[in-house]
Amino acid sequence: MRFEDDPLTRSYDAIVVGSGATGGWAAKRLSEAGLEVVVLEAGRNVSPKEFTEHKPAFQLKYRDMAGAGDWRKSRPIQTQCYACTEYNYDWFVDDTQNPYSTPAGKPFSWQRLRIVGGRTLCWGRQSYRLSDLDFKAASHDGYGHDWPISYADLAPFYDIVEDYVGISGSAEGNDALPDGRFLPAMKMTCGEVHFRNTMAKNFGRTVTIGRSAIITQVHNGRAACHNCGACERGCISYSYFSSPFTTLKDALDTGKCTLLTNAVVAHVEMDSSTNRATGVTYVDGKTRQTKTIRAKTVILCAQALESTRILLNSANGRHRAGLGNSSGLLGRGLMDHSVGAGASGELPQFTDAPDPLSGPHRANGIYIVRFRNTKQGSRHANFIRGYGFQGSAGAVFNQEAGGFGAAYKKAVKTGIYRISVGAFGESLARDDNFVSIDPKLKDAWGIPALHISMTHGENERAMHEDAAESGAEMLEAAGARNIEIRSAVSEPGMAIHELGTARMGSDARTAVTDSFCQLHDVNNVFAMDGACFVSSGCQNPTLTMMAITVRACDRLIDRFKKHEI
Amino acid sequence: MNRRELLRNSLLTFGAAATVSVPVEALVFASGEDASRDLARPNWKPAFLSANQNETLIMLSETIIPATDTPGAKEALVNRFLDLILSALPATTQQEFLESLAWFDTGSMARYKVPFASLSDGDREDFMNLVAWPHTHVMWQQSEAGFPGFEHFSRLKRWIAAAYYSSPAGFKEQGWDGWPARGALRGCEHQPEERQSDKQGAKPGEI
Repeated sequence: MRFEDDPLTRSYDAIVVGSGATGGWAAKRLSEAGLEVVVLEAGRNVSPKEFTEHKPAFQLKYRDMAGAGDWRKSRPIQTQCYACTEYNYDWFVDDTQNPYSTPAGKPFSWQRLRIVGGRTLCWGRQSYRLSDLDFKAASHDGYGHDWPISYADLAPFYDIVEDYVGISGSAEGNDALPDGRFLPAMKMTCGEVHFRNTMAKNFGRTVTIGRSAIITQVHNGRAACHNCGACERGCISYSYFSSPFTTLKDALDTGKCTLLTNAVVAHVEMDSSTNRATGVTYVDGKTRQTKTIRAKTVILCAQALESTRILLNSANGRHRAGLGNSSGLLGRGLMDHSVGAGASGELPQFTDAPDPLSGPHRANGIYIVRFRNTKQGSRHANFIRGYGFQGSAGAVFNQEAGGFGAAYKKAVKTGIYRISVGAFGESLARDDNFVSIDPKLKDAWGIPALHISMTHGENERAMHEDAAESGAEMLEAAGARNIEIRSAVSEPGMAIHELGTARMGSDARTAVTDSFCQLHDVNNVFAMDGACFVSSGCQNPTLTMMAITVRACDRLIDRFKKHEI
Repeated sequence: MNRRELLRNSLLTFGAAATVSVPVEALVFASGEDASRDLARPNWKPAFLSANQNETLIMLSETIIPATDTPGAKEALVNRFLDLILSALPATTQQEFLESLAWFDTGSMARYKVPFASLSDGDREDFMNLVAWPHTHVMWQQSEAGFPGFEHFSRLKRWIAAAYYSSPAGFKEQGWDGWPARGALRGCEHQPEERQSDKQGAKPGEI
């Protein structure tokens, strides 16, 4: 390597920390605008040869079953994630190397990956826009803060992201869930069509096919989904959105972007005389050497809690409580959608046979749009905000059939027609849900670790009681039998939608970043991921994170053009 | 999507795939690696179960999932996979499994004076009919007591079904043909006029 090509001797226009959904977009947007970018990823690179979506379970030693496998011992938290399996566990962090603490009686399940692409390798792909019911929620019900942006501000950037990513879905004209620019929708099963029609007729509720970042036709050089159904294990045709093979690849193709892997960022380097960041210090994950890399701007896309951890660990003489923490709010307002409530049952009026394992499988479900506390509807007496449902209906093989012998074998094959819906509830931003640095705990690279303190509150509990009731009510109206309901609220973290801790706002006294994700306290450091969320809505957040990132990057490019950086 | 379309799509994206090398530390399954073949080795011996327990398990699993026009649990080597996975599970799970397995021999001895694996076909059918369904003993003026046989049966059946339907034979039973192309999603093909749920006045559950 020539001296001038060594990343450590160069000064970049931008350091992007993280290579997932928002890091990929920041790298793409900035490098395509001609800026020199370096992306620091804490994990290793990934190859399509690791994809296992077509590998049948019987080829695995333990068939991903029943908690067997020594690898689980190093990942007791990660195995709580549905997507962390015997196929792909090494995409997820080793919990013994990446510790965090929680208060007694307040568990938090922090499920995460450290690898190029981050969670986009195995995310759920559900992609929904927020609406002004969410951006201006405080004005609607008086709780918390409005976002400093409105839906109109973000809509053009949703368009950009959707046009590139490819979101299959169906327009519904429901204000609570703005329509986007969709590829052809996946098809509903007969049971789902029946359910959709019954909900519209009986309750005036909108049931739509899941809006998914899975492409249903050739799109931007990627092939249409081949319907194998196991997206969390990779995709040979890159049919679901994953940053290493889309945004990040585009960035690297510009020749303006450098990717450094195994670069575990510890803190932001500051020039105290100018109060500007000069770069970041990271630990080489393999050699354990500490290195510093310089740039005109630092963009944190490390995932909400990791970005805030870096800011908290960047405390210095001028920023004693952490970088960007003059408000005292850095780390506060942690959110994660509440999950756990729902209903399931059987639709005996449908007698379809299950699709064979080698038949098409839709890696998507249906979505019931929020119907509580909407602008048009009445206010619920027991809670504010609302929830959406995700679910599905269809025939499945019935291993739970009764009896034994040839009759049992036949019953399994005949199958059973099931329907289920599960709620995703808004998690209120509360300042007593927070992260801080644990003074006694460090990770395997010597970097101080987080202390995470979060509970779901009475509002979430009341919301989930209502969700269980309304779920059962809807299934009953659809003619379901053997209905079972769940009203429990799972421990925080289980939605894998960590948001907040560096919320945006116009006032530096009540927010950490401005509406373009720039720290109020330092004008060349940005938090462009879920950390900047003011409220959570109830929709899956990744699409909004990406749109916010594109908006913030376009503003940053403009500032570069005006020589303001 | 048919097989030709899958091949074309694979070629479409091959360029991107070919440019990324495999990190040395990555978990990559070797081409053709198949753990189920290891279970079929001729010199296989149980690692966790005793010979008697293994025999009981073979008989019980084949009774629950027998060979019909497709292979049953014995041919699917359900006992061998369960022996493997039990050897890797916590002691409490192992103990529960063995207790349930032992109950079948105990119950069989009490009723027929022979171990479960030695029952005649008729007696085994009779015994299974006794345990395979929810069952309670209710005595006059006494509270209802659960029948443990059904609990033991249910526990072992869950294990046996999971092992069978995750085996190569079980996969084929569920329509697996080994080919990754899955065809187009069909979805509901009913026309709106065929569906009662599209019409006013339909009752709950009417399609």
